[in-house]
Amino acid sequence: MSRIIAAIGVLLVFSLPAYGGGRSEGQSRLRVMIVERSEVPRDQGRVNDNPWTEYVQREMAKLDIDVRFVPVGGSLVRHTVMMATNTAPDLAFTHGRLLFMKFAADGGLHDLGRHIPEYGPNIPAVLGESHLRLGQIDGVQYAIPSRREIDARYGSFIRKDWLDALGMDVPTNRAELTAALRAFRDLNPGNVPAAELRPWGWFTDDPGTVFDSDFKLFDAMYSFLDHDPAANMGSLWPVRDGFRDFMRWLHDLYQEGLIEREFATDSFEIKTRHVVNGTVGFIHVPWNYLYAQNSSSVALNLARNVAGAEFVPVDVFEGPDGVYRKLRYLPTRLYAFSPRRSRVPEAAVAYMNWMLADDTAWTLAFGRTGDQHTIVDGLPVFGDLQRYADTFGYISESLRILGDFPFGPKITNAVREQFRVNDFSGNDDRALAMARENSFQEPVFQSRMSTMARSGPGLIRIAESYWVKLITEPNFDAQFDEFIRRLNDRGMQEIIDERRVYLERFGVE
Amino acid sequence: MATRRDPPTAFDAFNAVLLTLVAVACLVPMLHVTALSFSSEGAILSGRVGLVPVGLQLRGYQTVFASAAMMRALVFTVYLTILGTSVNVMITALGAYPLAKPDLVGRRVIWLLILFTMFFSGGLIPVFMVVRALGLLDTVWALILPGTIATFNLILMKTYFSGIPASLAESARMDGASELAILMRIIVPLSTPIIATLALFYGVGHWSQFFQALIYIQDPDKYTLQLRLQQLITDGVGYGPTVVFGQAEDIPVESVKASAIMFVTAPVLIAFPFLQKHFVKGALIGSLKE
Repeated sequence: MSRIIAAIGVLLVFSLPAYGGGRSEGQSRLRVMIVERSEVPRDQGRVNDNPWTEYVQREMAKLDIDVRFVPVGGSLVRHTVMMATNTAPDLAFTHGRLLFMKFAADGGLHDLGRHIPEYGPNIPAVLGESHLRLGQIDGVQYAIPSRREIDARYGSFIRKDWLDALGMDVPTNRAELTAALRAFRDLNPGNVPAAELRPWGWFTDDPGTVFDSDFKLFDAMYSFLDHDPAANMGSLWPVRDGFRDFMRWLHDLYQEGLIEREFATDSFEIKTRHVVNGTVGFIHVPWNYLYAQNSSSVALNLARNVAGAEFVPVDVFEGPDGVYRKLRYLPTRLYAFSPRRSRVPEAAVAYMNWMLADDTAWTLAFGRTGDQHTIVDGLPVFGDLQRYADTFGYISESLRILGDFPFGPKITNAVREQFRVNDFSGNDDRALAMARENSFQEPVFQSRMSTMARSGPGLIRIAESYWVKLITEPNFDAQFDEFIRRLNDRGMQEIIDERRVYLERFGVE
Repeated sequence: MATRRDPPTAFDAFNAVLLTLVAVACLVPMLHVTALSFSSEGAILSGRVGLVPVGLQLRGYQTVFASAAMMRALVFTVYLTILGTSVNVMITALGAYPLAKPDLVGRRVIWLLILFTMFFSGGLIPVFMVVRALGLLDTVWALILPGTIATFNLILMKTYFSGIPASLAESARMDGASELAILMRIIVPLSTPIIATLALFYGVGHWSQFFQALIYIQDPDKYTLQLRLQQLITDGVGYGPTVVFGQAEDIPVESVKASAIMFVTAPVLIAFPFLQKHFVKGALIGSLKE
């Protein structure tokens, strides 16, 4: 027994230096946050210590900036703790706009705008002044918003083989969609067991995150709403003209048995299972939901399970003015900032400036020319995709904190084409094009909205308790009137008034 | 000679059925995840996997075992568990021994102070700042020292020590033994059931460390297995190298997740039967004696 204890003691003592030492703070000039987005291959090192972080460090040393990478998990808690305890790296970022606005409003961030003229001329030149305003609060540049190349959001998809079996055309508006859903229900073209048949399988939901709606049915909703900017300035969805009709439409479809009975309670995995097993006729989901480039692809597994089954993208949510509107993502994924405690905000700006230089941006996106790719007719050509992935792909996205450099559609499409593994007969391209067509974004408020901060959580809780009820319970009008009354009681009108004042002053971005 | 047994009562039968159901409820999810880990991606997505693998394959496990990050996390978690459990048990015993003595001066006040920590804590941010001020961030000690003594475990050990006849320690003292010698040579050898029990409590706690590692650890070499598992399942950190617009290598994502869960869970499952005998005995004795 004593020998065992002694052996353990020796083992622990000798291995202690490997794990017992901590990081020493205050040695590096610029600490940069880095998030591990993919497994780092065994021969490449760690997310914060690999040939590519060394490349960055060498390049930055030429600017007299000593970079140290600080790996941070993607957890919201971790970010909040770092900010609350003044331990965040000099260049950090968050994906959440609300969190960024809170950090800024609480006085936790540097004004980077002061340093851009001297240290960051590439930033406005590449990203554009309009884009940079996404990182401003009350006119102060608290963050540099990254750039998102693909801002498409959601798409609608219908079973083409079911329509063909019924002799129906692809629907082009809500009325035709409703007719198709009824035909799916009544005629069961897929010959699935009656209890399993789901004319409208599911639509994306994300409870408790925003006030406006749990259901990401923006495209359907906008087909009901009045788009007169003056009439709707600052208004919230529940009181816009047409919103009541939108909810009633969903309510009626559900009561008719056209929408999956468990739409609000089934997990993502269960909903996907229904689609893959071929029991669903129509879905409204993220535009790329069906088209993963690996064996998890929903479209491929559906085709394997049900011979001839095929979803095709459709535009069915036509507005009263004949336009098929879609909400798109903000053109940013994250907000890069320098915490107030940092002594080197200008170095953070210089770092981001370097990342946006033409040569650097190319290297961080595609690797080194002659190593990870060659150039043919001005386009990068990747010979061995596995080698590319093993020597560079694992870290590229982690390093490019300012997102996608605007290389232009020719290069972007050429690269995308080379990484296409699965062939979806062009449906994925059509889905992307549809999701982008006539897309727009809601106004972005670049100021701290005090009424929303005060009343927002209460409104979210009220809304949470009504979204599903409005669709599933029979007495729609009474429910909806009560819903609006309770929202008004909790300060919805104050929020609208504040938004209106803001938009009248600053206009719609 | 066979012992005489009372005939089973209705309560016994009810108890047996209830406990069987509870056991099945615990076992079924485990078997399901095991089946998922050996099943093909298509079978998982289609919901065809129950308790038996469908489309048998080992790619999930191959991917997990080929992962350098997972292996580093395994080594570190084993180290953390051994070191942390040793420190926990040692310090808990050192705390429980004097508290088990009825003649300790200020015993009641010390007890109250210790019990206070059972119900109130400093909160996340203050504790983080203390850990940081002590220079423990990014060290294995950040995962051990803040929770060195679990009050509940201290109560168990103190209660067990109190049940050991005081005359044993008294005779050793008359022979000239120091308090430390009495503890190490008399009390500890007589307390293997409670030590094994607390070692299991503490060990499982360290093996399952997630939140503290999330907060205190940045160095990827010191990620625990649970932290890696969380990254894989909720943060979507991919296994196998990914490329800009897709994956160069086709990784069965759902199968890898299930394999990783089994990889992380299996060591505790394997160790538990060997400690179960001590565990039951220690937990019962410690909870009944005062």
